[in-house]
Amino acid sequence: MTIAELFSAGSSDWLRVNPKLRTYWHALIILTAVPLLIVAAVVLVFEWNVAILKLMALIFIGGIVVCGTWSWFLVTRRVRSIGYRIEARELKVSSGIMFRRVVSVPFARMQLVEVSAGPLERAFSLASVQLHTASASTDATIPGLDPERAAELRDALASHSATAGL
Amino acid sequence: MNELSPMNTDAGGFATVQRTSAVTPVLQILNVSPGIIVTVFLIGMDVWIGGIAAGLLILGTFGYWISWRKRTFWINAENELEVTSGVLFRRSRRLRISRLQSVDITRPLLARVSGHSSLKVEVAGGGDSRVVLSYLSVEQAQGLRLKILDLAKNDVISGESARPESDAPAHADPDVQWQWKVPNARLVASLALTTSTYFLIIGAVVSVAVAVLDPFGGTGLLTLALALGGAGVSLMSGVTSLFNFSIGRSKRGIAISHGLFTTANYTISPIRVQAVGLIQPIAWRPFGWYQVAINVAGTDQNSQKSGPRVLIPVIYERDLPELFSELLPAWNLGSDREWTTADKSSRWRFPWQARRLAVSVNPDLFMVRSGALTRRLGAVPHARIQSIRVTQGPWERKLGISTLHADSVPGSVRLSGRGLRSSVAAQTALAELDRMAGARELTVSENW
Repeated sequence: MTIAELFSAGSSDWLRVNPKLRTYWHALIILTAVPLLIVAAVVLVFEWNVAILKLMALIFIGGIVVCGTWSWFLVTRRVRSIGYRIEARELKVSSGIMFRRVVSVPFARMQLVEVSAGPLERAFSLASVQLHTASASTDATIPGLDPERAAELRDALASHSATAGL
Repeated sequence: MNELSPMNTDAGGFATVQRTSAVTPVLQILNVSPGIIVTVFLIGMDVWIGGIAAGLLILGTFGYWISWRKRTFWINAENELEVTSGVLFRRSRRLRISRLQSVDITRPLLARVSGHSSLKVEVAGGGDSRVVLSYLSVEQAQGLRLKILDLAKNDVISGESARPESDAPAHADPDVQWQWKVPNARLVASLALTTSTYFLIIGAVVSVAVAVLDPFGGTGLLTLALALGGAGVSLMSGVTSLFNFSIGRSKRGIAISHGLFTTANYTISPIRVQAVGLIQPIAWRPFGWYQVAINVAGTDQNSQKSGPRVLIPVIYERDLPELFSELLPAWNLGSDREWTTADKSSRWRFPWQARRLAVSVNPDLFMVRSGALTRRLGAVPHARIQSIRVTQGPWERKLGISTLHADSVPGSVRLSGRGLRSSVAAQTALAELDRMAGARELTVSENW
């Protein structure tokens, strides 16, 4: 059993995020890797006779290709690992494949619920919900939600935290 | 004086519009002038550069003088500290004293030499929640601080505000009911014995070895000098910051003051103490010394140094019960605990401290113990835990263990129960969530 299942008393009915998050993360990888590759390629192609610079550019390209491919193939599992549950007193969020984590935030301790959507996220019509408490280590972000779902979730959490009082 | 504004009779002398001390622009220019002078010497002194630097200094002084003229503060009728500043763009800020988080006096070296202080006032709330008044005369700063604390406690009517103007040290709180001082000799000894200093000593030994193997190279001497210098600097910075450490209890809360060149004074309500940690580096064990660290709510999250992080830098184990009963009576760290210890397999992940790793869920506190060389004990009341996390890295997953975190407000006390069998970690986490819910219901309204 994963820690997420253990932490929800064996139940595996976690709410999942929109599978479109996969495409978004793939796009993010391409948009990060391609400009870096172009810079490295320019260094390679230009006729500077500095061997060390060309060697570094080659290593750099290799590194980007390896890291990019690695994270490309992990995206599916990463998306599938994200889950959340609204329970009687708290919100639970689980994520991670190598480094797994489950966080449980009581409604009464929520200080701020934030919905955010960057330009690229908006292009895929996705949004993230992030919870803040008085602790900086509370790390409860749910990415890859439909904007309507994100707004619903925010309102639900806000009303829960209002009834839970402070 | 602002004749049109309604007077706040509770605010005493601070009900009228005030300015910071008139020497403020001088102190401010003295603060920046060493930088300018050093830059001039680095560039190379000539007539032009000297002239520009002098011009900058004169312009700067004038600028500081104008901004000093334009900066006023007073306590208005709604019990707000109102600070107006700005030359071109006027800015008025109001800090509700009823929502006070802290009011601290700091005395940077230059201000101290000239008999001045800075006063930092912080209230609960968003971005615009703190103000620093630089520089005030010592009496003015102390008077304003006591006044704000009085207004925050709403006990001005009891006539306490008529305070005798004694010639006590500027940071002394006249209502101290109990006080504890750390002898400076013990402070120096304890800091010299901390584990980090040990590592520097090891560095010194290594460098001696290098010097023996390579007697003419000089590398050994250089490493030795670096190691000793590093040890000395870290020791000195610790000593100067914690020198003359005193902690006391007054009717306003826990009062902490320390520092050799820059003195810091904090008054914190016991309610704001969110977590407590006991720390014992290995070399302190023969002496039975402990350090007590705290996480305090409402300190600025951006600058880690703004709030008190240490309740007491060094104290004998036998004195801990008195300290806790005087300052934090609700925190019962001493009694026997049922510990849930780490799994045997955690030895492969935490070879040294596996036997000491444990968590404990008690009626009042969640506690964590860890550390092989430096022993640590952390405690947090159930109601003050912000969130519960269970994490598991790849190596931990192989061993079937997880880490249980109880998240507290930012500070030096971390509550992470490592090496627990995954099922135990999850059960403890669920039990802790129940405790937290129960404790939150019992918590009375938190005003002080």
